Amino acid sequence: MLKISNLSFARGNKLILKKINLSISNSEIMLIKGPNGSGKSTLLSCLANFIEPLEGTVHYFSDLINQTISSKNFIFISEENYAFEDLSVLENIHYWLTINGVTPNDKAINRSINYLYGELNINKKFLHLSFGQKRKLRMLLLMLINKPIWILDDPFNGLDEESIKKLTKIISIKRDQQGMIIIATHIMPMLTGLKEYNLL
Amino acid sequence: MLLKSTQTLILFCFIVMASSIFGLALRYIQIDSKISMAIIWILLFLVVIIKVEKVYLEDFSDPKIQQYLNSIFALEVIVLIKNVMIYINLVLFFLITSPLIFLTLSIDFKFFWQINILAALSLLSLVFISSITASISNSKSNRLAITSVVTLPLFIPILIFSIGALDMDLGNMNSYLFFFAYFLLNLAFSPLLTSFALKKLSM
Amino acid sequence: MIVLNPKTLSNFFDNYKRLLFLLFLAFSIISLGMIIFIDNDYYQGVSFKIMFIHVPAAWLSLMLFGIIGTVSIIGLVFKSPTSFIIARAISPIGLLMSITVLVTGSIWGYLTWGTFWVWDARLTSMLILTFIYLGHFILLNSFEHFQKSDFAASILAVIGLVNLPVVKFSVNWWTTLHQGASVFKIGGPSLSGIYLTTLMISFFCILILCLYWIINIFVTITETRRYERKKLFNE
Repeated sequence: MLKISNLSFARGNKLILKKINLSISNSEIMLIKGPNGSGKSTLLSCLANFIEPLEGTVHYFSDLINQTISSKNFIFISEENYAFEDLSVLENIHYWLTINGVTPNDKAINRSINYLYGELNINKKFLHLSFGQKRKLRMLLLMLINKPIWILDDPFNGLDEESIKKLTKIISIKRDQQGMIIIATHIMPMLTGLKEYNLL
Repeated sequence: MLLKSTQTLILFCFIVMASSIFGLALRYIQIDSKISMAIIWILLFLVVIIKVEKVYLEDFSDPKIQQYLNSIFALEVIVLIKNVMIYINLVLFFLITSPLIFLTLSIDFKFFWQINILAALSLLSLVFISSITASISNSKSNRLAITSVVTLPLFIPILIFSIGALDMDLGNMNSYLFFFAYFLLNLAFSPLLTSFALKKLSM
Repeated sequence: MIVLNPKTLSNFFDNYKRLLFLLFLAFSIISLGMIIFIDNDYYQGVSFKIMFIHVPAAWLSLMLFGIIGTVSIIGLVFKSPTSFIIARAISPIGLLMSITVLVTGSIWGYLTWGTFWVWDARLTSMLILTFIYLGHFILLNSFEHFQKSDFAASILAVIGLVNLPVVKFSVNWWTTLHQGASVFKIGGPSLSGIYLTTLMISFFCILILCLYWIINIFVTITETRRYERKKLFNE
């Protein structure tokens, strides 16, 4: 249960978010929509406790969010790549899993890669992958790390039709498992029961 | 880390070339070992600032910091480990290239181990101080690159004590006490200030 | 505990600005009078009177850096905007004071000892203080958004506060290592009587001038930010 009250954010002298009130509970998918530059990424960063808002609070089950809560409960998938370009795909996956406290299980990794990509040489260097393949790698983290809240910033960008269907399936499975998913996107996933919030 | 070693290798080639140019320019004049040591230390300062800033620019980009904030480790711990790896990288390369530098700057080889130990001790504090200033200039909205202006005044005690320590014997521990003390002081502040700067300034 | 936000402070200061300026004028007339009519020193002639600007400026630059450091720590811990505005207001004045010390000291040194600069402990640590002030001032203007500049500059102030005594201690050690250089005593507490009084009066004169400048800058910054923030929320 994530409750946002009166959230405002300004960078220097430019007001980006103005008094936002929002409430999201478990087993819900919230879509944040809005035109380009309306502050979707900023809102998600404020939610995940990366930047401090000008005023307003974010509460998680009546606790004010802080570093401990956000690192235990949130997965944040950003628009830009966070992988190391010179390392191979497998080494990147091992690194990010270990950082998040998950022991890398090679069988599970291979299964997820087969599901997402079909055939992929995981010893290839990360920078040799195509744009869409790089973005798909983030879905691997979603599949392998188990945290209740997903905050996704434009996850469907650059994916082909097949991958969009797979990601939609993963998201709906998470919703059935009592997870909470917040997505900022322009593309409507083919799911029922979505809640929307428009940033105008 | 091995891949990033090519970066360090190029930086140390810069040191060797710069010291050779200096030695060449003053080839008819008798240079004291202390002058050469001061030259090496200044070049080392530059190399540390450049190396740490490059590593931080790449390894602490915005999305990576976001992932580190959501991980089970505190950002301070990650910064500490990164600094230690940069330190090991620099010390190993200094050890390997020091004979070349000593030759070009005509430093007496009886100072070999002393200068290497002093370099190893100085680099500890140097890396930790420049990590703070590298994290300040890590942000995308930073318009000026002034790390060196901000960092160099804090390197001065190291230079002073290193050159002073050359007078003492190798085994005399008193000359090395300052380095440990300065390192502990910086160790206390550096990870905290670095992670604080990364969190507030980069996003 | 009264919560000092920038608005109440700047309103408070606005009322006392003119009073402060008049006070400065009074002090400066007194001190100038005393300086001009005081007897010349037996050894150094007229030039020793530079001391009456040099020494207060030195005291002030050290004091102001201490204030910047403390206020930055308070700002980082309690996240109060007032402390950051105070640090931003003091920074250029501190820089000016430390440059004044170096310039007047060099001139005095040339007139008395024949050399502009020597690597003495006190001169070197003053030079390093100038560099740290310079870095602080540049950092305050190097970010696009002023909140980030405030954070970055306050981090530098904290490092400077911690490391500056170490630098001073190490430079002292250096001059005892290389005992070739003679240690010059600049000014000195062995003044008495009329000289001490003149020094104190000129110190207060320059102190009030600096306070006047700092208060002006503080008020300007606060008013500018209030105006821009009002424009922001009215858009």
